[in-house]
Amino acid sequence: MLKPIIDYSKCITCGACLNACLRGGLEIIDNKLTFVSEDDCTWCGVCEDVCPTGAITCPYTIVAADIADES
Amino acid sequence: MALSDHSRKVMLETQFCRELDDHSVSLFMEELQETSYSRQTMIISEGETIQKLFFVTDGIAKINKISPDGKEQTITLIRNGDYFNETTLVDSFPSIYNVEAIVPVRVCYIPNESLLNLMKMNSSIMKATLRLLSNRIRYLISLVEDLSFRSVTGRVAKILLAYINTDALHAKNITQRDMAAMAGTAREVVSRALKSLEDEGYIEINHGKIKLIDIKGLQELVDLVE
Repeated sequence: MLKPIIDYSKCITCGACLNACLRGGLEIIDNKLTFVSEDDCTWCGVCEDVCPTGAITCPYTIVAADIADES
Repeated sequence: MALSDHSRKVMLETQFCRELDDHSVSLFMEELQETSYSRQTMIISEGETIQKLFFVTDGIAKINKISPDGKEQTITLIRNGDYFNETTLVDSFPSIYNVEAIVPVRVCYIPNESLLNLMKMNSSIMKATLRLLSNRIRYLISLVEDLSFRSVTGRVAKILLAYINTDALHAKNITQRDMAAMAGTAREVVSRALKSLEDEGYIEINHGKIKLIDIKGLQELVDLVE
């Protein structure tokens, strides 16, 4: 399952994304930002929006249906 | 002050430097200086006169305009290797847009006077600079067309079709924030447009993958003039 991308070199574990995530899908475990319920992630992009250092991105790949079904 | 290795590397990969021969690149790079801005800092405010051409070497900045009643219109996002404040290059007019650091941003900049001197001496640098200006004009005309003639949903459909990849393994990544900047709207509006396209059966969205189900229908949305 894909999940939003965290750039740990930029993450300052400020917790802004924890409070913003509508599904409570993020936690800081052992001082490291971790997705704990990635299956529930709706890819809403709010964590990306609130991240003060640009450490989280929710990128999409865009593919045609027939190509996507083959891959 | 010498440029950091990171900024030097990013600058050498810009279209601007790739067009130049080694000697011209050296001349240009010698004039560059580097600085950084923290998140949500206004790098340039509309009306301000800053006589420098900037290149982002790390982070993301946005170019925007704010209406008198406070409504924001994003013009574009600026990332590694992108440039801004080109409008002041040949005259001393104040900036016509704001540039804000969305996240911490590092930039290289060249004073206008230095670049104009290089342009006088070196035709390659002149040509590369003109190309940079024409690229921005081309982008702005395209944005005007989109904002004038297409609904937000039509603009998002256009972006989806532009980013479609025939090779799923090498599909490019794009975020809602990117789409919002390209569509000249807010991220939340893009989110709603994607949901609407999904509800109407044009696309399927699943964990970071947007599958285009009805390409013909999407193209019809793009062609639909308001």
